[in-house]
Amino acid sequence: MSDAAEIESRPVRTYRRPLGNDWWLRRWSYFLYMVRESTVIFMVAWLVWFIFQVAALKLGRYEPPTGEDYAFIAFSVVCLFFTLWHAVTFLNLSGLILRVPIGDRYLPAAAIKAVAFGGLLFVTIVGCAIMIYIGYVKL
Amino acid sequence: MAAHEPWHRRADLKPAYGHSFWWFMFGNGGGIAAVFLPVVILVAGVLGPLGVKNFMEDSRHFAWTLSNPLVKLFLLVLCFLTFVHAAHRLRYMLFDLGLRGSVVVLEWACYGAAIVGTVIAAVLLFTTP
Repeated sequence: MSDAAEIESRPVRTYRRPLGNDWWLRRWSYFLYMVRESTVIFMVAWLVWFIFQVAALKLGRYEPPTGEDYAFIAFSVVCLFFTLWHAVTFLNLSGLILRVPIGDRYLPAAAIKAVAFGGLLFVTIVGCAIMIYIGYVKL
Repeated sequence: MAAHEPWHRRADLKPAYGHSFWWFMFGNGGGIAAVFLPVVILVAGVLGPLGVKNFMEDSRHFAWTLSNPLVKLFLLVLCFLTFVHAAHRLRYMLFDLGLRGSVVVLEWACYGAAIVGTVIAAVLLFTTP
């Protein structure tokens, strides 16, 4: 066999090493990255449950969840945990991504993060108050 | 040689409008979901079943809340942006997990599901009560 034919017969060597499907299990930081990506599954799952409640209301079959619906409470707690995970990781990036020019400089990243987390706190407190207040409205 | 030109002078490169649109929606969806979704889950999903009165207290309060067009709009925007954000993340997550052979199918499945979910939510929200 000539040298050229011998080289041709070798397996093709690629510059990029093929990435296996379990790469995210090799390092803790990779695993946390995939957990962050998967938080959306729980956010969507809870919103789908909510849309089902709207459908039930439309059909006249709505029954509010009670304290005995342990499975639903556990489901909501898990969804809340991952939604907060998403919120913290996403808003943590706000200082890196958002560029707010002030003259020839930019607002410091720490200030942008503070506004983002302050907004989350404000919306949580005000939203809680409004949604609970509606429950006390006499109809 | 086009390859040696700076990217902004290269005539063979075109703006990826579709890609930029989904990235834009992803960013906005992530922000809106991060700020507004936790409180909704906290009140309606956790505190409500534990005995705290809220807008989902019974069918009358739930229907009264949904009768407000601003509430409908808020919930629709929350659903739409969260679904699109999730579609974008799922698309890349599934790619990372090994589904690398059918990117176009993956895109249509993820973004299509987000749009179908939004349409269903819109129909239900605007025809209820």
